[in-house]
Amino acid sequence: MTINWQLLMPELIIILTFILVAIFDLFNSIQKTVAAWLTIVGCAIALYVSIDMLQVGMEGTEFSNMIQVDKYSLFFNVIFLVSTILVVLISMNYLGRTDRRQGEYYLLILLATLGMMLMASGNELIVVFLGLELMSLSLYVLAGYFQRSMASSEAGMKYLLLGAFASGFFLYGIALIYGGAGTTSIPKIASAITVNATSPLLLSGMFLLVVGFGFKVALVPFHQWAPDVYEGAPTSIAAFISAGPKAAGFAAFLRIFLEALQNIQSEWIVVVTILAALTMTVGNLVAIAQRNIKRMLAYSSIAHAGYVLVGLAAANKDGISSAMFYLLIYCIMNIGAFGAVILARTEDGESLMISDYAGLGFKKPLLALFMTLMLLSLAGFPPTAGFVGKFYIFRSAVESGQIWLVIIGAINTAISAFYYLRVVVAMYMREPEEELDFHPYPSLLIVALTLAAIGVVLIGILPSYFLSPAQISTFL
Amino acid sequence: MALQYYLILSALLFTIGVIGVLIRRNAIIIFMCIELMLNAANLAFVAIGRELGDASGQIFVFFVMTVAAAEVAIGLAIIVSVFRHRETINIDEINTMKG
Amino acid sequence: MLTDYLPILLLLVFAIGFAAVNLALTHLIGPKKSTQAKLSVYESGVQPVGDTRQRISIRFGLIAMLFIIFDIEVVFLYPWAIVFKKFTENSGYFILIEMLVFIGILFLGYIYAWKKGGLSWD
Repeated sequence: MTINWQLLMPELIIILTFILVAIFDLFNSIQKTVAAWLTIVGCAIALYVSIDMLQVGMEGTEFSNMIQVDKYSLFFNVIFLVSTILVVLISMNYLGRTDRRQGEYYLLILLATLGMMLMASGNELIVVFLGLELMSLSLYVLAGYFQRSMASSEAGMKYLLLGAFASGFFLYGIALIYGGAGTTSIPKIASAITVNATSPLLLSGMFLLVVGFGFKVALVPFHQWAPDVYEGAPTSIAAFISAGPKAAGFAAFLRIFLEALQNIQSEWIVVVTILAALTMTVGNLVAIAQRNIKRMLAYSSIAHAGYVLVGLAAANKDGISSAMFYLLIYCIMNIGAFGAVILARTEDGESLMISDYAGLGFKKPLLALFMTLMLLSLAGFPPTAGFVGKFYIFRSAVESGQIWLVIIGAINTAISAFYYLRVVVAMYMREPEEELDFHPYPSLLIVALTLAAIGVVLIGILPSYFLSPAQISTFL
Repeated sequence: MALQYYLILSALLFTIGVIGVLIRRNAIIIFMCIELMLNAANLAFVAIGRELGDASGQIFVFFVMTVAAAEVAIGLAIIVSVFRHRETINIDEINTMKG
Repeated sequence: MLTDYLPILLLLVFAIGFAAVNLALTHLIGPKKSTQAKLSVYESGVQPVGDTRQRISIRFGLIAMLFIIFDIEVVFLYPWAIVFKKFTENSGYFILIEMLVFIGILFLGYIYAWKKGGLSWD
């Protein structure tokens, strides 16, 4: 029995970091910020190794074909690790030095990251399920991390009940596909099902999987948990939940539907198209009505899931690569937007109402600058990364003939500009209603936001440099 | 062939679980209904695995059981922490966030 | 066909009848003298302490959760033990190292729970 450990290097590094952080966390004499720095260093090494493996083009399967390491999974590793590093950076000042339980926080973030990596590299539905659960269970606890806060506990419980409900659908879907195809290995399912040989078990299993994924990546009509969880959870965790786990959900969604179930594409493509159109439209329309910026970002992230789903509905090679590219951009800009929300902290907590941001453009120029950049990118204005991301997604859909979906997407982009720009207008053109006493800028948060801003601008200006790795990394 | 009876039973259990989650209001009972859904899937796994003569169906059940146990531990902890704030676990009364 | 079940029916009637008659007879002709000791709760001869409906500390819940987590891992040990011998004949002791790693990680979790105060009562 030989195992090619090199293939599993990123995962092993995360596990080693986890064990190290756990051991350090046992000693009260060691400062808790050590845990955060260890997490960052571990993730950075794993990120370096992943990029290196991506460039070398290392591929292979391991553990009796349970794990499939290929460029696709490595590209997603890069997305997860970048978002984890950014989230840890924005968390350090947010939690403060006094929080004695910080060790758990970083341990759970590491476990969730490991779960995401397993989801992207799972070659067997049950590995995908285990990765999904490892990620979700860590996130339930993280959402309820502020035990003293009613809203945080409530967010944890809502996330738990709806997430576990979704896991039930997902698992039953796997069971039925196992019955219909006789295997749970993704490549074997693909060869077991042909266009003519569809059993009712397989079809119902497929729809249950759509429901399960729909909950996990917050597609309309399975999105109701998202705004409450984002609002109640600690803001750094809201940033985390909105970024990596969504990308991981899509990683598995794309791989299962376009590799295992590609032969029955005609059965699911209509459902996915309708879900994409609904998700974009409802997400953007409801976001307009929001007064709380975290809820607004929650609905905006629902709408963005709709844009990514357009890539799946396109169901071609370009669709996958543009969805991967978009997820990378989305993670960076969304964490940046939540980071800017953390930056706008006052003495009595966070200022979360959009009206609180009035007049910040001149009082807090740096904060307003970061916020404006992230919101413009989320709205998809050139020359930011959000624009190129949307451009490639819609182009892939045009290529596969989904013209109507692209038209709906374009209308939605226009609608979304309205509520993103409303915050920008409030910051630069409105007088503040009351004087809020803002905290001074925390240094690490500025570092994280600068990194995110560089990412957003760089990808916006040099898209091909980041798109071409995605294009060669698809599994089709 | 007895597979269909097991699948019908598991589908019934799953449906009972889903309906329970949708109509019950006590967080603990909702949680029990979710466990029922997972166990319905377990039953389907074992039945299908036996029909196919494939051991992996049973192996999956081991993993699902472990996951379910972890989910219960975390779930009960979160429900207890909510109870400490509100003295209730009726999910209709736990709604401080709206919009 | 149904006559085959007649002995069972007879047995049932006899058993129920015997019990019912005895109970009714003692109830009718037995003397009734209730005392303090006779009316008290029977707890295997030990003096009863407190009420039956006691509230149980939530800390038992924590211990129970830890127990579930560590207990359920045994499901992986059992199939491992069954294939162990066959496996070592072909591929050496790799399988043993694998299980040691698994138990090691569990042990780390146990130490973590212990050090974090998960096992202490207050």
